[in-house]
Amino acid sequence: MKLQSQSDQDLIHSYIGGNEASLEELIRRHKSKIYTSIYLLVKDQYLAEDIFQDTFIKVINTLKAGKYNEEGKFLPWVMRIAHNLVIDFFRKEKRTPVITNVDGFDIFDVIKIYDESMEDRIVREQTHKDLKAMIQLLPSEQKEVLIMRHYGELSFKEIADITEVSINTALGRMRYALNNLRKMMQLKEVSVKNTG
Amino acid sequence: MIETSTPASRNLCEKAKSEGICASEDLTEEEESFYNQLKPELSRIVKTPSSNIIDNIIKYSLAKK
Repeated sequence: MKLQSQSDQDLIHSYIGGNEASLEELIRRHKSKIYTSIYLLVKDQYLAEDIFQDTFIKVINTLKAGKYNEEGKFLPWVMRIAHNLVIDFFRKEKRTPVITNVDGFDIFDVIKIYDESMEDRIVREQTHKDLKAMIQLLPSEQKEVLIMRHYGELSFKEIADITEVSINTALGRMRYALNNLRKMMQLKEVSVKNTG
Repeated sequence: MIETSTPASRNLCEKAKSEGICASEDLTEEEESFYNQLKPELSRIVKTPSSNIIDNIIKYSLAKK
């Protein structure tokens, strides 16, 4: 059977059995989801690549040590490793990714920052660049859920497990993220309806 | 903090909450609609790691017993 048509679980078994090509297929299959998720959180290409590499080193070590939990799906498991490495990085750096205090989040502060520092760029940039910036302005918990949901294609249950919150909390953060993005887009007159 | 209102989904969760869990993983129709509009734009932001990073990982795996 071709590697491309095999399930993640089959590829994992094949890799543990010594077929290195199976790992390449797993990486090819999931690299964009995992890397984009890391990149949007750390906002630095080289740092994101380091964390991406470290993530797969942990994956390889775990698989080759025979410690992989058969019950879990591959992508959520890898996303959890990546998520923990991102958190470790911010802890070591003693800095937080953008705005971390949900209670202190004020849309007008965001707009003020936006107006002062990026106004000229907003006019010129395409919608997806505006959106990328808006995602970065979300409180970290909301951004994290949005990224895991969209780029990691994780369920709210899986996101809840990774971030160690309830499903309702994960779902609520997604709602806040969408509502905040919508408000920012309305205020900045950015539309996604005609850009498909 | 921005206040939002999600009455529809909350209603959906009420029964499940009373049973100890909320089984609903759904956004409200309005939220889902906005998210669907947003998806193509979100997908344009997708990035990939450079090929040498992938090569490093493969090399590490080959060297790892």
